[in-house]
Amino acid sequence: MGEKHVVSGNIAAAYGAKLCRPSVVSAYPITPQTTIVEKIADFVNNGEMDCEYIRVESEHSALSACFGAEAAGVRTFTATSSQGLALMHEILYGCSGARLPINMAIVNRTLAAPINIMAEWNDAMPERDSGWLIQWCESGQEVLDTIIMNYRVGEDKQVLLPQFCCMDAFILSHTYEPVDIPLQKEVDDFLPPLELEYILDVNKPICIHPLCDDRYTPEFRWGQEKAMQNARQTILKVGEEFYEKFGRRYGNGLLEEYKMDGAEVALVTMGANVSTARIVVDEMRKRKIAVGLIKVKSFRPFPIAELRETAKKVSVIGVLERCASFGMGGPLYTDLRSAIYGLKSQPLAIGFVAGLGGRDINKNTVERCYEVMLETAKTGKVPSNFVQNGELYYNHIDARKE
Amino acid sequence: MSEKIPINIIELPETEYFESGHTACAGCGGALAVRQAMKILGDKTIVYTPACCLLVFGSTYPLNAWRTPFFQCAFENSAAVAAGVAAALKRKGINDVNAVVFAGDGGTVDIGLQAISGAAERNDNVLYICYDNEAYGNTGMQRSGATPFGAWTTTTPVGTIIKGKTEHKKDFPRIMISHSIPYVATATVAFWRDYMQKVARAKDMRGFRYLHVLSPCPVGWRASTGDTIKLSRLAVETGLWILYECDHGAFRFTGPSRLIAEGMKQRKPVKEYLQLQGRFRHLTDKDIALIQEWIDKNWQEYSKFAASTKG
Amino acid sequence: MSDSLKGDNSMTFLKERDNIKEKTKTDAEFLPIPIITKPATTLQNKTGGWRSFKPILNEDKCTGCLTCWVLCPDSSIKRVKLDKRFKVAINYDYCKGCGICATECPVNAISMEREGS
Repeated sequence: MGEKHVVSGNIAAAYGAKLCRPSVVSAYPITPQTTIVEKIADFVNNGEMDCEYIRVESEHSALSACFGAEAAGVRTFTATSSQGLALMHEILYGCSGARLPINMAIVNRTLAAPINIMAEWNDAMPERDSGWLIQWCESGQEVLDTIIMNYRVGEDKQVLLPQFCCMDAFILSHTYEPVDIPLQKEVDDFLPPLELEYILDVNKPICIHPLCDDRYTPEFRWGQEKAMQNARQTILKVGEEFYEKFGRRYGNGLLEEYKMDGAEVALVTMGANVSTARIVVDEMRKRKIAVGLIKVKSFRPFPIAELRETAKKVSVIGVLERCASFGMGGPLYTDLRSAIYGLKSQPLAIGFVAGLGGRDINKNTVERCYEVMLETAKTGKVPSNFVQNGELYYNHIDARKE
Repeated sequence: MSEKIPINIIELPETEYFESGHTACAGCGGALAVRQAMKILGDKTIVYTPACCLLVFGSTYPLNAWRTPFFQCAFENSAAVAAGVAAALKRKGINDVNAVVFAGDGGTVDIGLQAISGAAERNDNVLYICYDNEAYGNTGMQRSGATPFGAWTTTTPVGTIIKGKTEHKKDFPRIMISHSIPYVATATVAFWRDYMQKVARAKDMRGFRYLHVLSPCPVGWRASTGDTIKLSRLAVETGLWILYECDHGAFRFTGPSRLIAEGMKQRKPVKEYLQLQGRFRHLTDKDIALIQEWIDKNWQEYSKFAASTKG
Repeated sequence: MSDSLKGDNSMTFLKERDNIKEKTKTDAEFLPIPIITKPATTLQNKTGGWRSFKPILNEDKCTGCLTCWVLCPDSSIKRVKLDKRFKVAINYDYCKGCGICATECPVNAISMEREGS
């Protein structure tokens, strides 16, 4: 049994990293991730964390150093946000293509312009094609647990992919909650030491990541896709094992249904939004309104099968997200619509983009989403601008008006 | 002052750690720089290379010229990636393996500057060897910060109005000296004994060590493939390239540059070097005079600097 | 094509690509990860075919100073130990005919001749 501490999401991430015993941590500060790297620095300088801490001069170098260390066969950890993640962009593809299971905590902050330090998912969303496993978290506890599970999943021989653990800036990163911090021995039992087959070793010299051309690269790419498919199964398996060991689970590891039984409409969302939405669902259910909530935890691999199964239950499905892909709509909305395409009882889908630049997503925001969905369920028509042959409608919700 | 390290040509190992069959251009100074260094570095080496000529000619799937572990990541982060390797080796308790970078001048003095400066400031345990062919060779000979004044490159072409590069060569080894790292040295492939001594000295040190090796590129410099060594030699004998090492802050000239510094050898006129290369064919006497002036000024500054570090 | 893209979100390698050991044309293993699993596979790439000129060694003139050996960018000159001294031998499998050895030989023991003559 672990110890309960009241810590912020960032500190929980730092503890998660510490418990997993990375050999090399290489990170660069950026608001609002800074307290993660500061806490790790405290751990290292107090002898509580036994690792090499490379205080690099940029995020690009941070991930590069992790690349080098992981290729040499040791476990690594890094963390960043927003501009830092954008600066790492090039190396992200390097890590997933070279199949190095690096673990990264991301504090989702607005990507400039405008310069803004508050919550938005537009830093991580552009990386959804990068081949990294992407997990979103609802609480500080989930952040700590996800970091541990990510190492297990990513380092699995059938997977070998790097992982993101995402949390909303300030809403999670700086909010203090009670978090159960497992004992070191418990995590050691759950997460064995890293064993990579192909590493830089003078006793067995190989060439990692040479120049390749069209005769070989498609096979490498299929390898990445296969790994992502294997990750699906591995996430489910690891989720089960984590539950057995630590008594906590997050849906099946990919997705969680909340009060979906008998629901007429369902809202799909991720991250801190979920905890707000749970309260709204509870209150509406008390008023006998049949609403449900679907939490997507694993954004990559996307829980296609689970969403297809659960979407059948409702006539209208809405997606609430803190990001937009200009000219198309919300990325989570777009992915969901792709996932449920062709279902015999395919629900009408509405995308809601809210909270850009850190504007509050509160109970009113979520209620408005449900109101729109319920109205749509009654009339069978998505409100204005929606044409059923596929043109999408996304409705910007402004909480200031509430 | 560090002892001279004897390099005996018959005792150099037979093993080629950078093997034949690589696809470098005929006469490539860079390939030679790597081969010569690897004779000293041996098998206890993990090699990293950014995107550069060496990456392409040394390791294009499925051809791998290396007998040591080798890998690559991107273009501008060599020192950071190698720092990661050094940290991993330390964690594994491996003390006798060097994390070595072989990088071109582009990935070093231009886009690679930030990562190198960071690694040098942290004194990461990395041996960084820049093979300088004075342009972005891999992408077809565009100018870099290391391209010398007046040189033709594809982005500093000889036009009707502007002819060749209008800026002087960035003195990158000097920048490394300013980082107060344990070892900085310049070398070139013609004076291979001097080069190998420097590699041998750097090999056994810890911390960030930097070698800058002038590596003539016959293709890019528009010279004859057989002239690589001649060019390398003339660069030093004309004083255009200065051979030195700065060992824990103590600076000394080496090889023919030492003879020049001590007045025992006259610098050859730079025209002898320039006229062998098509990339300088368009230079006027006035241009050559400017280059000569730069060489003279550079020697004055280095002599002053050398004097200031003694005692 | 459709055989390999079964439903249920699982991808399989195309059948004809399953046995791809042949692909690398070297003795290195092909893995669906960008790694060359063996060192020195360039030895299977004979760059001697690149030559327009080839170096011809006059063994009588050669003093065994090994200058050509240390200056060959392609490691195409081998040291040959004879009792107390050395000679050299040119490895025409890899020699690209750059001419550095001929230019640098202190006793002009190497001359460049047209390939095929």
